[in-house]
Amino acid sequence: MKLSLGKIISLACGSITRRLYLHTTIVAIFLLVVITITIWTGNTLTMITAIARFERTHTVSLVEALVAFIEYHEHKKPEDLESFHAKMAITQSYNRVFSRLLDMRKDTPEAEFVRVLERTFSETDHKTAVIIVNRIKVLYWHPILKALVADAAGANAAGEKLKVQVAHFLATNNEVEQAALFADIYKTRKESILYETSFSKGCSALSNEISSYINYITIALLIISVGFTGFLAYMISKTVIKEAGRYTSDLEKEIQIRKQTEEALIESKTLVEAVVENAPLMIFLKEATDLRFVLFNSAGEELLGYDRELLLGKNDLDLFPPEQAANFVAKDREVLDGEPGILDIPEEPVMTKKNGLRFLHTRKVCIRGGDGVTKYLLGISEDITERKRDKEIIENRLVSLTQPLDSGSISFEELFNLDELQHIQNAFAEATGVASIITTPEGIPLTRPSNFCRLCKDIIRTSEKGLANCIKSDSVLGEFNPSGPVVQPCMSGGLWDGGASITVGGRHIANWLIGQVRNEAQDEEKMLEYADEINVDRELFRTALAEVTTMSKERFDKVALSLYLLANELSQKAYQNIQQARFIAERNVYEKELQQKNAELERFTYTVSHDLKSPIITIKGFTGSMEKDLLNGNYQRMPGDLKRVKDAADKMSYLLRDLLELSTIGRIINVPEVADMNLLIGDVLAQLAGPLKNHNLTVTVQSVLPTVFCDRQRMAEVLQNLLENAIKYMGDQTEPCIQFGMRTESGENIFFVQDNGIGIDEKYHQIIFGLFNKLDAGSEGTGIGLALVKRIIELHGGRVWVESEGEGKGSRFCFTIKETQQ
Amino acid sequence: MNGEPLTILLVEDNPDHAELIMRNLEDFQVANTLNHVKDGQAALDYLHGRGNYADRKQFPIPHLMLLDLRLPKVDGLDVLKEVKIDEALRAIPVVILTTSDAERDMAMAYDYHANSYVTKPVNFIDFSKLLKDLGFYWLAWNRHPW
Repeated sequence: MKLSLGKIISLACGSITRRLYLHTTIVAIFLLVVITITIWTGNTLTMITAIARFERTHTVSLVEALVAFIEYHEHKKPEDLESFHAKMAITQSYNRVFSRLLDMRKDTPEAEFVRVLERTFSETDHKTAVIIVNRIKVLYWHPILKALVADAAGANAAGEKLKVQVAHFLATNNEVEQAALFADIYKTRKESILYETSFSKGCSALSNEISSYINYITIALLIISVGFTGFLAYMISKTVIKEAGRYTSDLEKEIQIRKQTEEALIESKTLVEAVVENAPLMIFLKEATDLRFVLFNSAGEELLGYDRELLLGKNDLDLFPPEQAANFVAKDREVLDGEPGILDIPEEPVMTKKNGLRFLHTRKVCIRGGDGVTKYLLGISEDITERKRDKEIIENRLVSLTQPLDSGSISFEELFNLDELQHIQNAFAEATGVASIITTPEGIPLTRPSNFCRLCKDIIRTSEKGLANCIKSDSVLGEFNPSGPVVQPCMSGGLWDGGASITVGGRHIANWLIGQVRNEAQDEEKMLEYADEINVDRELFRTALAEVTTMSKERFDKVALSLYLLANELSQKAYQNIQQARFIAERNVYEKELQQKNAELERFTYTVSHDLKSPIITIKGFTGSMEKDLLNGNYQRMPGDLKRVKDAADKMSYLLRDLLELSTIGRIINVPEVADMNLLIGDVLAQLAGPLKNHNLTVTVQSVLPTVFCDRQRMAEVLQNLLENAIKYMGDQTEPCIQFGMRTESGENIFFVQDNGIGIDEKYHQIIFGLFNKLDAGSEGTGIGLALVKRIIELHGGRVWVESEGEGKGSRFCFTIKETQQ
Repeated sequence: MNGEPLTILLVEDNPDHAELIMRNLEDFQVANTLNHVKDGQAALDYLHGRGNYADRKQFPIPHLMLLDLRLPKVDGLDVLKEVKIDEALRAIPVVILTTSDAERDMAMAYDYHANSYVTKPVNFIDFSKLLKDLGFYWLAWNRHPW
């Protein structure tokens, strides 16, 4: 998982936001409930207040009614009685409505109920009336409300009773009766007031109760709000912590992974760096723009002999000779600008600081950035100098080994590995205690001397005369002697020497010499005289002579014999080497020939199958077409078609004839003989007299041409073909002429047939010699002539080519023959 | 198929084969003009609108090129190679029509992005059918970008 800070925030927010939405919705519902309840309780209070106000109004009117009655009773004023009735009516109407509040809820339609209230209670408005109706509908079950209604009913009954009693009171004049009735009225009034009081108390009680409700609800709401907000905060913080925890752990994991990756990267980077650094090949990186080195490994430093501090930031021009640098840059550009892929440079020279000229095998590749733009050039080079030298040595040896023994010279170094032989010589000298060296037949040393004594090395050979004698003696010692080793006293000092020749195939190529030993039989005095003879100090000579190995003659003869056997064995081995090398070389030649023959055969088969198929298609095609035309009675184009068929069949037969001829050339070649070129061309021209005359051609032949050693018949074919071609491709030349002659270039005789005909564009100079290749599809012939010429000339060890300035400029066909003589 | 005649470029050095091809294509119903060149150099000159073929009205870019392989002057494969390298010409459908059934030729032709490779049937009926099918496919069914 890819981790980013933005993602953590967005994920966490998303989650908490979702929670907040949920919680907000719950709070909104909750608040709605609270508001509803608040409105409802508010309305209920409004209702109670209104009822309480009505109650006070009608209590006042009851009191006013009674006051009016008492007034009337005392003063008998009729308006007081009217007032009593009016006030009483109001009181009763209020009582009636109150007592019927609950019933009206059941019976009266809502609107009617509201109107009754509005009509009855003069102090009410429509809104209050609606609220009252609505509240009653909800609160009808409440016991206090029921008690209120009961009180109103009681008050109403008391009112009615009062009205009756007042009527009775007014109807009688009897004072006793009146007093009794008054008492009753008073009593009823008291009863009525009791109801009123009870009603009033009920209102208060209801009001208190509703207030209490509000208080409870408020407190409950407070508690719930606080609790819920806390809960909300808790939930959100929990979510945040949880999410944060999750991302923290993800982050930790991510960091862990990244750390591991980084470590692995660092490790692998170090590994790659180490690999590059320690690779045994020169590895370098160049910037693509100005080809400056940006990386170099230690093998590269070692090879070029520069420290990398010196190399980095430089380019080839700063470091190498101009010609080499230009070559490197050209290759670099080829890689960077050319086709993608690895450029392989099998061999390129480079001048190094410490190791001189070295040869490299280099591979270069272009490194592109993510956007495909070339950024770097990577190069890997191997120092192939040694390998190249070894290869050259081996090739040289093979060449010298395959040269015939009876011609040229064979040198010892070419037959043997001198280092190996030096080892054998050293070991032989060490084991036998004699001195040893290998020289040319003339006595010139080929190996370094082993075990040479001081007398010979530092005394005799330092003298001019002594050295000359040594070489002379050595050459005599090594003379070819099939019967055994030559053993004789040295001609330069008289110590015992022995020698054996190394011969290969009867040719003497080296002397293997041993010696520098003395025995008791030798006369020391005579030897000291030699010191005088070669002008060296006698005393020095004597001391050195005393150090010379002493060995019996018998033992030395045995050592010499073993040397002889060893030398013969070496000769044998060298001979086998030569035979083997010759065999390999011959096989190589045959293989190459075979490959050429195979390739030729393949081309031949391919061409033949293609060109022989063509006339078949023509024949079948036109016969098919004619068949169709016959069916349709269409004879118009039949003669033309028939001619095509005939021509195709002819062409096929020519092809077969020419092919046969071509194939026989490889096998049948007449015995070569000496032929005079002038005579040969004369014969051919005589044969072509007809066509030459027809075309009004002038032919010039160089007067003195050399004789050649060739197959006359074939050579005549060559000339005929070339002349025929010259005639055929003369074009519309008004003064056609052909010239036959010879020129000499760097000792080589080049014959040519030159014409002033249509000429040949340079790009076709090669393909015209190919089998069945014709430049003009419409021209006569099978396209075999020049292939034939090429074949014959090559069989004679020569070359054939064409020279032409281009179309319209004539052409000159040239050929050489291996053996021509003036 | 906008009613304009479709052009075929036939590159064939053998005049008999060219005649056979033309006869068989004439029978074909789609309106077309056939231009015949006899060697690889002429084919390239035609395609590049050079020399004798400079007039594009008379020698328009072909809708189909029938190319023989063994051709005088410039070999068929070299013609193909040059056509398919050239950005202006590479869209031309090139059908190799040859006598050669050598695998090497076929492999090389496809290597150089030949659109099709067919060998000339020896049998006349097959030859006719091949050209009819070939013409029908490349000129009637095949859609051209120009």
